[in-house]
Amino acid sequence: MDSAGGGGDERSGAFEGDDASGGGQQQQQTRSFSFKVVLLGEGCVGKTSLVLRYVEDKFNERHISTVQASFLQKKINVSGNRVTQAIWDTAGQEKFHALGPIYYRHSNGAILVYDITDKDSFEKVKIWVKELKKMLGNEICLCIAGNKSDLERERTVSTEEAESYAAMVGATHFYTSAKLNHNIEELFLHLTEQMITSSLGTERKQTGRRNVVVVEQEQPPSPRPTSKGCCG
Amino acid sequence: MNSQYGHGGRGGPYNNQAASSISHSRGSKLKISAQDLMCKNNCGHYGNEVQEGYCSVCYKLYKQQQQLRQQQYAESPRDNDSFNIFGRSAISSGFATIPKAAKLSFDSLSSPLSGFAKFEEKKRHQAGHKSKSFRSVFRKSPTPSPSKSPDLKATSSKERPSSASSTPNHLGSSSPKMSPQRPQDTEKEQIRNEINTFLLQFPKQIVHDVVVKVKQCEAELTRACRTSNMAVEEISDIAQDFYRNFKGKVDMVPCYQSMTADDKELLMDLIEKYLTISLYKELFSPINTTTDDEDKDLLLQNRIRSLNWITCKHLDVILNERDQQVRDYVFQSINAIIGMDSVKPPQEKLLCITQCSHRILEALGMSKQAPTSADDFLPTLIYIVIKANPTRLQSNINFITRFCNASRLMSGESGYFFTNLCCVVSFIQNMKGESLSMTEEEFEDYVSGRTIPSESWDNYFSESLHSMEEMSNDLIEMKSRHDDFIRNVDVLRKNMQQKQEWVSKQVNVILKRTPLTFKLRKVPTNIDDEDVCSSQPSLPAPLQPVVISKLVKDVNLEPNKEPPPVTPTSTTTELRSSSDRPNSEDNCSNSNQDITATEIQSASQKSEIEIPVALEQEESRDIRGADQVLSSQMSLTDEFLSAEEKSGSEEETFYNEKKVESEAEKSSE
Repeated sequence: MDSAGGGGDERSGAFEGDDASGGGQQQQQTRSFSFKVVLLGEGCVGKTSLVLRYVEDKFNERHISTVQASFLQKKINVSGNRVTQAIWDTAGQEKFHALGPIYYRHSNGAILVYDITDKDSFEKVKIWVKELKKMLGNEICLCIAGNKSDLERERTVSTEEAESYAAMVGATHFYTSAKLNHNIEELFLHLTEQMITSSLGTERKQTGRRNVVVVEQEQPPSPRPTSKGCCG
Repeated sequence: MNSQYGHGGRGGPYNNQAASSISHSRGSKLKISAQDLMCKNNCGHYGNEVQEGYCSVCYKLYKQQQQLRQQQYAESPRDNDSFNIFGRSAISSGFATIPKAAKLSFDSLSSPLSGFAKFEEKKRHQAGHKSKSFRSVFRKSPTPSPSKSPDLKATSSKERPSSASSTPNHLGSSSPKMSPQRPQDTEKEQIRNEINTFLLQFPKQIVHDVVVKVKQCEAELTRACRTSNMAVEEISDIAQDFYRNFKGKVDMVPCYQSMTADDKELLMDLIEKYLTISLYKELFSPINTTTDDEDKDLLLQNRIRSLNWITCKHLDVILNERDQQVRDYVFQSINAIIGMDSVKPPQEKLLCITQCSHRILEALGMSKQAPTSADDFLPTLIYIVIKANPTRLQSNINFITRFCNASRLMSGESGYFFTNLCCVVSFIQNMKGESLSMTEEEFEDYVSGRTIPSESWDNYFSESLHSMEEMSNDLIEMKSRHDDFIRNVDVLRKNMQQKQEWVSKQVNVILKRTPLTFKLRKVPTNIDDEDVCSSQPSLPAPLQPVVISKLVKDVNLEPNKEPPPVTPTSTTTELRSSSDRPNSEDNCSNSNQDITATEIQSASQKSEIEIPVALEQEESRDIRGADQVLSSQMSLTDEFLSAEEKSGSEEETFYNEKKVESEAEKSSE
């Protein structure tokens, strides 16, 4: 995979000018963020399809070239900030549930996926949310994704229940469909924006070891074409 | 106890030594008795080849003793001159510039080398029949000079991984680079050189700063390691703080801004490498501090050993182990994870984990034909770790966590795979019967070795058994296909029979309805002959026909045109003749042919009338062929009408009948 070289390329040429770390020029500065996003959800809820649709924009398994979907990276530009998203898939089987904390420690965001036709998978999401809140408090941005929204007729998790629960725990709720490519881009974009806000908030506190690498850099004189989602 | 050892011996491959021999000679030399795996000190624990045949506890003691010895050597006066007299390395270094051949000849002549060659030979011999540690051999072999021993030690431990291929020449050429002490120093030297060459391209200011900072940190870490009661976590904090601060400095301080971002990354990597290599002994599962890494290693190793019976099925691993290529990938991943212990810098350890993971992903990709998700990956990694049983796994993980640059560890692919490895260790430690979907009693039985489940490594060992199984599978498949074929043949036969019956029934029905009689083709009768032979004696003499000549005959025919030469198509006359039979009978009364002809004509007339009715019946009976029947009926009636006009022959109707029949048949198909 090209993940190793990615970070370096992204920041090359960052220090072309003088080191200007003056405080008041926020607008002119481009920042680079790298976020870790964990993907939680029971098996068969479509985690893999969701992330592959996002990163590769492909659904049918025959068309997908990547060998693996367990660790994927995508670079996007969000309001002038360069963001590298590292998406960590987790094993959703019940027997691996106890390993959750190892996966999601130091993560900036979590996407909790459930299947709208499967009530159990939603209950599982509730358990994870509880765990995440306990382990990471409010440091982590949560998004709940009701996947397989194309199977509306077989829905067993009611809209009100899901949305009210998400609002209660401070998560954003999305209905997604990996099959129809519905709402997935929006989901990741929203999560990224949230993560940027929250990391800027924690950065001011400067507590202990940072797990986000924030590199300040001056805006290059001629701004590069900010095509969204291009990853070389 | 005995059973446990037997168990261990059976599942030998989880030991490094055996696993590497799998990859070398698949299935050939895999029987290793339990005794060979034991620690050389006979302390009752298992030994390890990487630890020169000792268990980890004994190895530590042994290493300490060795270190002590080496310190004595170091303290003894040893300037270059004395080495030139005694030391082989010094001699070789003196000849470092001369061509290899000359050096070789020198080597073969020099007296220390003869002993050395003997040692080499012994070593090769040893490696040939049993991959034991060379330590014992070395002790037995006579050493000509005391100063040579550390060098040899270094050589032997360095050469160990590829012992079989090493030659005196190779040794001779590699030794000048070595410092006369431990291999660690060699690596340290190498990384120092690497860092120096890297720094050469930058301004002096940077070089100076880097060197000063790194030296400071090194000294600090060394001091911390020497202080007893210093928790390893604190040492780790020192290192991590240094990484972070230095990274911040590199990013912020103006003089570093001439470096590109890539170079900065590389610099950080090199510094990390240098620190961890130079202080590896102190930092890796330190003894003088309050860690219990050693005990954890032992516990984990025993735990994995007791789980060596686990197969793909237990963990729902989807590896297709029957595939040769998949098995190759599995071996490669096992080798990669075992290799983690033999490299020193955390980055390289991470690289081993990443390589192992990539091999696994490739194997999974071949087994499944779909992108691998964590749902498949994690169980497989567990399986691989159980089969590999990597040496000092816990210590290695702790070492990486403590001394790898934290910012790197938390992001990127290697971080992900490392996290997965941590998950695997945690899972293995907490494994219960439930997690393998079996009862607790069953699980306990397996773990304690009371019961041994079948075929944990069978897919890898018994090549012929495996191919036999493959063949029998093929045979089963062929048999099922054969059965299918036979069944299809039966069905076809039955169908054909039914068809035949049906056709014959249909034919019978039609035949009953319209009995088929064949009429011979009419032969034109020679009126003259007839007249001549039969004659009408009743006729008066002048009326009696008399053959005069051919011409006359022709003339004679004119009035006798009534019965013309009958052709199948012109039945006009016959139809008429049937209506005025007496006349025709009068005309050609005694001709047998004619009689049959008229009979057929009448019959055919009857059938001509009947056909439409019959067709109607057919139509009602057979709905499937309704359209065709209808159309054929239409055409038939048309033809019938035209036949009435043109007075179609009975043969035509027969033909039509046949046509209807065949069409009905076609429709029924």
